[in-house]
Amino acid sequence: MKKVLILLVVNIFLVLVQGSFLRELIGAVLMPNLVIAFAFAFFFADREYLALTSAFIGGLLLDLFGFSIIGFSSLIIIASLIFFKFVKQYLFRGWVANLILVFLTQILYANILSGFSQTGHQLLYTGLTTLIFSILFLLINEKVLSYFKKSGYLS
Amino acid sequence: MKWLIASLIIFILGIFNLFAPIRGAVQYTFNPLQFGLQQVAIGIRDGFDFYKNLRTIHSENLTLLEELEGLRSEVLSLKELEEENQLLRDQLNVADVEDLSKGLILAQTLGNINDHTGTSIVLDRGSEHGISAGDFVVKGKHLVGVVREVTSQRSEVELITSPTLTLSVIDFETKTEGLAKGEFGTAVIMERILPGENVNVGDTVVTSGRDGKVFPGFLVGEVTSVSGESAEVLRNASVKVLLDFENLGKVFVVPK
Repeated sequence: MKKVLILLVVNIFLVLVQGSFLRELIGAVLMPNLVIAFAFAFFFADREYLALTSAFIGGLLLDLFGFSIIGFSSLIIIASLIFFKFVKQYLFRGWVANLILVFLTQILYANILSGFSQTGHQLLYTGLTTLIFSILFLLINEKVLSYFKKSGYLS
Repeated sequence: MKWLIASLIIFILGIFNLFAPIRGAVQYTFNPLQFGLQQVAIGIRDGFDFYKNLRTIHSENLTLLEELEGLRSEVLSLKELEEENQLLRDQLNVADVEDLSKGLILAQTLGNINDHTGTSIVLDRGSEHGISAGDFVVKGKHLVGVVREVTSQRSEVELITSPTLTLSVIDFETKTEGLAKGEFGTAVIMERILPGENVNVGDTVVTSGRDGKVFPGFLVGEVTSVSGESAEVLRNASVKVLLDFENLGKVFVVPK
């Protein structure tokens, strides 16, 4: 329960920062999807439960703050995570595969959401910024998790 | 797998709009916070822009002062014309055709979390405040866009630069009609200009109101280039939008 609550708070923060802060600061085209980046950062570290829980909570928040059908974003992100779990298990492994997967997920998500009206460079930019943030989150998550475990806050 | 099933169930229920009250409550709660964060980001961006453009600001200032002098004299002559116009209206007993000040809804713009193209914005007012899909959004005499979707607390506005929004427009100077279609960013393409019709660089493009979407006379932009010869079947003109969509702030929604 503690983990779910922490993920809820973090995802609310990410959704607010993504839509209000980053969008104004770096523009809509470069705006990364922090929810996807955050969930995939757990996925990279093989923390499947945290990745799926974060994708579920974050996806719902994206829909609640936006105009898409509630449940749409979490469905897409979780389906991508599950699909890529099998890809990682049976087809490709390693860093490059991870980076390609997060990039493809963001492109797929942004494209479906815009009704396939986005241009190539728009997809490329948002895919790349999401990828960069997923690497940043991977580094931050591991440090925060180990700190919480050391302090006995999380088991 | 449980999260996938849960998402699927929520999605199916979401299709029937069962979560609209929850969405309304969340958006209502977080509107002020989003606005605050947006203002912080705008402040940082403006600060960067200021230092980046420090060199050009002085010469820009001098040009603007010159322009201001010209505009002052223009305002004076327009005031004279306005008085004359009012006198004639009173004489003829003609009422204003569109009294836009009635029923306008003031709204604050917010960033659209789901838009990576920069072709839509979100307003902090929704159906509860009297906004419905199809209403149009203006800032002064500039057309901003058309309301696409509405929740109880927010509205999604499709900007005139969106490629999926088409509007009937007219060249203010030559009275040539065409269709305006967004081209992402800050440009609009004026399409279907008939052969023999004139559109010149620097002309002002306004809404014609023929499509019934928007009232006539709202500013769309200024022609920057015209493609093709006047004898060609259908020509296009590139129109630069004069409004800065990055710094919209407060806008007005005009109900249909």
